[in-house]
Amino acid sequence: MSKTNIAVKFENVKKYFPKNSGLFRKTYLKAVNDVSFDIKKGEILAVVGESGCGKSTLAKLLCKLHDATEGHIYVDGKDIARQMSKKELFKYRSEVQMIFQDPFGSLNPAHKVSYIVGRAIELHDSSLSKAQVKDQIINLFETVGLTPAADFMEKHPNQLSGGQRQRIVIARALAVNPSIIVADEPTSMLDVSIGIDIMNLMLELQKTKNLTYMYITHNLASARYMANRMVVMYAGNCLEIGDTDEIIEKPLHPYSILLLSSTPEPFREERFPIHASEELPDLTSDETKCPFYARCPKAMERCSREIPPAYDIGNRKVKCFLYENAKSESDVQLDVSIYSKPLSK
Amino acid sequence: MIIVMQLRKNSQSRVKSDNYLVFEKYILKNTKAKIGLGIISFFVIVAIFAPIIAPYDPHEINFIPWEKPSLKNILGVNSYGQDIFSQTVHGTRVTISVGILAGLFTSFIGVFVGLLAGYKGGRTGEVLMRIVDVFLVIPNLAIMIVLAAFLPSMGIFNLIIIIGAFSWLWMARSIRSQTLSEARKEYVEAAKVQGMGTIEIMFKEILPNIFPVITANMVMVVTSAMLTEASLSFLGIGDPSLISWGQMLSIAFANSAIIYNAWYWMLPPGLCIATLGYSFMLIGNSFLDIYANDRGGSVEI
Amino acid sequence: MRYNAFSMDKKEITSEDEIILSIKNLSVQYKAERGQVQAVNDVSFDIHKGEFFGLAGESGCGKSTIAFSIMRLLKSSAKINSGEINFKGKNVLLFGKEELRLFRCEKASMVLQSAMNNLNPVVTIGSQLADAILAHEKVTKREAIQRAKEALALVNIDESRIKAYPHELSGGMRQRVIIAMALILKPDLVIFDEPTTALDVVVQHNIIRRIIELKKTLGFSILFITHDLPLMLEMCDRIAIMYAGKMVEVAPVKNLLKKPAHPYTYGLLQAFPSLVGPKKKLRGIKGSVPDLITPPSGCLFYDRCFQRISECKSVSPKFEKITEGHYCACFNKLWEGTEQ
Repeated sequence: MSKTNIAVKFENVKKYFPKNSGLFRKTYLKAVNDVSFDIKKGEILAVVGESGCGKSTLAKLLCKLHDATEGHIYVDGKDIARQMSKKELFKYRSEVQMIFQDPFGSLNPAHKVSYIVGRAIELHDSSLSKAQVKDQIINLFETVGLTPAADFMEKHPNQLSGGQRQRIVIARALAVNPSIIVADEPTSMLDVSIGIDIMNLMLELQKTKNLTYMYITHNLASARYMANRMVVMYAGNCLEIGDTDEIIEKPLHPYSILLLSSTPEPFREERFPIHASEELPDLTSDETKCPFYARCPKAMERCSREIPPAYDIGNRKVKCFLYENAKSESDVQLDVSIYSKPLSK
Repeated sequence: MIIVMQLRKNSQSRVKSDNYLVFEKYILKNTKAKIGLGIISFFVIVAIFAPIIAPYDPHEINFIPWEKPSLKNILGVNSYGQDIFSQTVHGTRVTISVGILAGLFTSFIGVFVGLLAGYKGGRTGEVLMRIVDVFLVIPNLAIMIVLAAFLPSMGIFNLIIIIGAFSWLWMARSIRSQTLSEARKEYVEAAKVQGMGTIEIMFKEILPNIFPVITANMVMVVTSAMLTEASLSFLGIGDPSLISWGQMLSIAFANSAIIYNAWYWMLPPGLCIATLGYSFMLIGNSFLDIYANDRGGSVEI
Repeated sequence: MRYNAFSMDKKEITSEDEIILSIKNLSVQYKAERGQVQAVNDVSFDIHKGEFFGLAGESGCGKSTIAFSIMRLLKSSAKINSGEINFKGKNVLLFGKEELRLFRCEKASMVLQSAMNNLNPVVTIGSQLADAILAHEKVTKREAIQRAKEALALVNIDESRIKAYPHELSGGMRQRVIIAMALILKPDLVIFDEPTTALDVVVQHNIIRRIIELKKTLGFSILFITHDLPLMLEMCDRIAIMYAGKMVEVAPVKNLLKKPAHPYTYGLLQAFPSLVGPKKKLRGIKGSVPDLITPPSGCLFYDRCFQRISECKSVSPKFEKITEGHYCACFNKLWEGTEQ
């Protein structure tokens, strides 16, 4: 395939986990259920959603820690969701890397941090001499802000603070010279004043190394800070995709509206109490309906029988029947007032 | 005075390397382990210097049979006229070497199978565990007796193989369960994302983290090997020409030492087995306790 | 600058308000492998009747330690070396066994982050609530169950779930059961220690709003502990900021947002990304928390402070009043309380 400016393209991706229940019926946990979106080269795309929405699974699919049940994932034009040879898979590992959520768990406590980063370098470039590897390690340490590098070389992960550990995680990810980085809630286990530095580091690295990020988070404010585009996920589906600022200023999907108005924001006026149902979606259900049906105050009868397709509104996509005939954002007047009364069901 | 104070300050601010800290935690500050290691070292020294320590040749039958302990024969004489003290000292060699060698042999198999089953999980793990389960059902001692009957001669080497061939099972189970919980951790995922191979992940990433469990298991395996050797010798299956503690007990029993009230024949080997076994237990259990403490709770063994 | 609508409801604390909890010069030490950790260092603050008081700070600052000290639930490795915890005038630290038993649950109760996962899995929630009542009041089992049902209604759980087991409920519902348990004996003070940190944002929103409504109807005071500053700014009347075991600032929310006095408070406020307003580059606070086993002399924030002056290095600043309800410990405050 020719060089496109799309770094990653998810096309109708599904990931079902089989659950053992009974001898006859096989039930599946539909962690990711028909997701399609693109990430352009050099951009940061945020995937936001609450727990269980499938965002972490999506991250693991991109990193080939899981294999997709159905669908295609095109990375730089090549579909990686199919079976890959050992060689191809190994090469892929040097193109896509991951920054994990838990800086305490994602570093092996038994090794020195220089070993951890050095091993990553060696794995993908066995021709380097020991001295060259050491130089690269020092270089990486300094790139991620661990200076003077010599102070950190001999340390073990448990001798470093949370922020320092996360920098090592970033250094390790950069060690193989990837073009795409998947960041799975990289700052949710760090104090905010430290997390901000990590986020700033990631932003800086994006500019200097021209990286593409898939940034997973449940915190909308951090998505706004980091990403120019955003995907809102719910129950394994992506309900709304578009420009981060546009979505935050005027969310279109009823779920996006709920998510935004529930996020704490001291500088925003809350005009009335919000009544939101807390019913959790059933990820094992076989029913064909909009995943948000049970909690949607604007649900129509149709929503319980069909799954809405993604409608294009401007440069956004919304999966909601309310927007079926809309040409622009202002055609459908939907805002937080739809939650001002409890659900009548 | 100032120089002394400076030196003292320097040594206090020396950063202890991580390996040293682990060593300190598991051995230096671990009284039980120190006692255990002390006892083992004692026996090892005895085993190495046996010919020097033992006053007489253990096979020599120059003494008056059934003689009680005296200045000439510290632990008395057995029914054949052999000095019991010399026998006990030489017996240390066989017991320790069989125990340790069989223990090591077992550990290699047990660790490998356990790591593989725990890391791979899924079908491979299940299959391996079913094989282990099947073998566990067969009574160890019975199989060993049968095997012993088939083998042409029962040298020390065969003894080690037989004992080793069956003792790895418990270890595999234990290592597997620890590996299962380690393999779920994020650093293993990170290793996979980097493209590390299975063998490297198993041995260089997971193994260092479950080392205390392996050590604890090894210790128990060695103890069990020693006791098995003693049992086999007691049953008369071991090599009759090799003097071991179990063999001494076996002959003592066969020669009605009880009726003759020859406590000095049965007590030394029995006590030695118990003491050495206990020392291994001290080490193993204390290691497990520390490991479990670090992980906030109990550890399945 | 427009504030959250709930700021209309924010209580303005005056000196006439009854003080429910008064902490004076509390210091708590922990025994760690390397030495003694001064987890809480000479902390003083008051909570008034009906006040929503927030305790903010990053990990390791000592906020949970204070909460556990109030309920006297510290682990044995911790020691309260000085100070008073006065609940309605009486020092909790001097309570005997029976007084303490009555204090906990009847006068003050606690909701923990992990509580929702530590409900007894083999007892129905109705029974667990009833047990709490029966332990403190002489009523029949029937009455206790009836009160339990009322408590569940308070937290918006349907009565019919009284016979449910904890694992049958979602995380949000379990945490509501815990809140119901904390309120069932109508205490005067409820301490919340990161109660919604493990919950999703929609559930968190619902629960927090419910807590505020209940506070209005039942009239209890709240001590709310979390590291999520935006959440606290939305809900609390006054917020205390803690750093490395010391309380560096206490202020009504309006003051905190408009005129933070302590450089650390300023730094914290700068570090939270927001959903509205202009997008600007945020800054973290360089450096890290000092070692609490061998703390430096002088102000503990010295190394990381952009406002520091020479005095700060050698002398620890005292916690003093700036204006009504607003206190700060700093030699070079960002605001002295003079301009309005």
